[in-house]
Amino acid sequence: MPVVTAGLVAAAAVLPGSAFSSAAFGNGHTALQPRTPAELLAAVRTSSVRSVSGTVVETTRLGLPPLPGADRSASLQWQSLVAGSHTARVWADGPGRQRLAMLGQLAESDVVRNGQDLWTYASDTTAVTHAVVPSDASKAMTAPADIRGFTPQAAADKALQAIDPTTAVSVRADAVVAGRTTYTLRLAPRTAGSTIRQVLIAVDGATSVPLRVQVYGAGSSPAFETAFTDISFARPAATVFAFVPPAGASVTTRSLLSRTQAGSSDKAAARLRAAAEPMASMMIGSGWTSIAAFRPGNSPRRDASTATMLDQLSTVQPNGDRLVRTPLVNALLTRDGRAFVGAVTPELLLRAAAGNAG
Amino acid sequence: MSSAEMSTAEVTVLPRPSFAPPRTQRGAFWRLYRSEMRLLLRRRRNIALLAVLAIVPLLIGVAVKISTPRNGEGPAFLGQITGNGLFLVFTALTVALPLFLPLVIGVVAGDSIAGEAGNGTLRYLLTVPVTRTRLLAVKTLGVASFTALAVLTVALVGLVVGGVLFGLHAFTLLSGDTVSAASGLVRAVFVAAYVVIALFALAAGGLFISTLTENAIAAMATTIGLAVFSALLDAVPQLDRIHGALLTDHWLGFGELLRSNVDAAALIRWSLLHLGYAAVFLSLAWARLSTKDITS
Repeated sequence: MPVVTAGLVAAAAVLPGSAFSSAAFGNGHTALQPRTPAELLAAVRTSSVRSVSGTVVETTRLGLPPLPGADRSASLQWQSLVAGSHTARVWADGPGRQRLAMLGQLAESDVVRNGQDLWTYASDTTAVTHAVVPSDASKAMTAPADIRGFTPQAAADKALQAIDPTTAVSVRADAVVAGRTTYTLRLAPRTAGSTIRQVLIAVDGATSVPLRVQVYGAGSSPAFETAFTDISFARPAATVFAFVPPAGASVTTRSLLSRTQAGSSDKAAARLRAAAEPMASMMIGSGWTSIAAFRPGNSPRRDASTATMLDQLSTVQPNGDRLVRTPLVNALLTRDGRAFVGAVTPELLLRAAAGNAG
Repeated sequence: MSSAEMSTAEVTVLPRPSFAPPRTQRGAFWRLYRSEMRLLLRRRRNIALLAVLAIVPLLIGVAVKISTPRNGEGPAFLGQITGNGLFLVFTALTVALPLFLPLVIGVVAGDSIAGEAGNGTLRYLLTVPVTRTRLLAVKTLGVASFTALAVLTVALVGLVVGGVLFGLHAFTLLSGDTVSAASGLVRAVFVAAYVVIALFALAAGGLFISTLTENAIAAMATTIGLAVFSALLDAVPQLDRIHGALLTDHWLGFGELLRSNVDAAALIRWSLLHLGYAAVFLSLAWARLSTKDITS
């Protein structure tokens, strides 16, 4: 009897999962029409799908130690996103109405865009921020910096924008993501020096919406992955986007720069950026081997725990510089306070540091 | 020892003449259940355990009243209690779930059969005559009732204390959207029901452990250890593949009920996991109890 019960429970737990997640029963997942890489790229760029809702799971495997409780927090800060797995629900009804809810244990952080209004809410602090989106703002500006690239669509956008002559594009065998058959688009560097081996983008066969993005470093499992675990193309209810700040919440108003403002006075924009981020940055190289160089300065974010973490993660070079290695991103911190970060081999970072002395 | 005598005294009235129709058989089951509940609720130790549970929301409520916490401090929702007493229900449940509630359930479930065996009343119960299956059914129902009572104690005291000290107002969900106080109360009822189902899995585990020994203290400690061990495994990041299947992993999953868009499928899945644990533990308990030699 106990064996029978245990068997029944196990069967009940395992069977529905396998029936839904694999094509073992041979139903539903028919082979897709073959497409060339160019056709597939064009289909993704011209996809007419406006309404999407579903669950996104993002996983980062950089070998960094996870912050305590980061897996369960709903924080949108990069510190909790660089390690572990995070789940979010997303809703979109065209570019003007979007919502992302980062799920944590007894916590949630929401980003809601409803027309001109951009709200964020964090349940742990009950802090609300509000910004008015300029009508001509670029897409990237409307999302908080820390969650850009979180959803498969945003990550695929970034990857596809970066396609240049150094990128080899090919189509691989079909995959099944969120129960839907997808094309697999593979982007890989033609040049040496990048730590990225390949980027796989699963593109829905019926709608051409990217459903999964996987970035592979040297390892056999993706160092970064974001994927829908369930998705619907039905139009979300309007109430999903109607955010009213809770009574008594402290609302912070943020300002977003419109594109024309940013373009009309580059110096002013740069000053604004410098004021917002205490690091003046520049890019070295282009494409797959681009390196961000900046001076971290006395950033308030760099507290004692960050410093300790850096000490544990980095190896000291012969000349006293410190090198932080992960399967995907490497960083070099020089003795004179400069930082070089990129998805490139340490040798390239060392060369970049040597070439940019002073 | 008085309780042991009481249990014998209570159940000796049970035997019916053999020609009794099946209806009275069913009545006998409920009589046995009532006797079991009387036994559970008359024990001073059990009343003390419920009192400890009642103190949790009381203490949190008074502490928050005396010194208002900043948002984001302490356990979940602590900062929001001042604005809405209903949050005290959820804070109290969050605080009581890792230790206090498993402690109470461990004591009651661990004692349920091992205690009778240790006192020497188990064989009297079985000569009443009560079949072993029915005895287990009554014990299961008794432990389940006490689990519900324990959760209700935390939730109701939290509601009353929160309501008196801070009032019940429109309820802010985790997603930042606001619903009416009545809707918040309905969600609190569902939260309590979810927590009862989650803890019943542990109670069933305690019942099984209780059939393994005649030493009630050992059964209680092992049951509490079961919850602690599961929580420990849950905290090891290297084991994240098995986290989803652990006994305690989804206990705080009641937070799902406090979002704007409740994922009912996930809640049902987690509840079925808890009921699955209960089914396995109960059938193990049945197999053990129906085959073991009862010598005391």
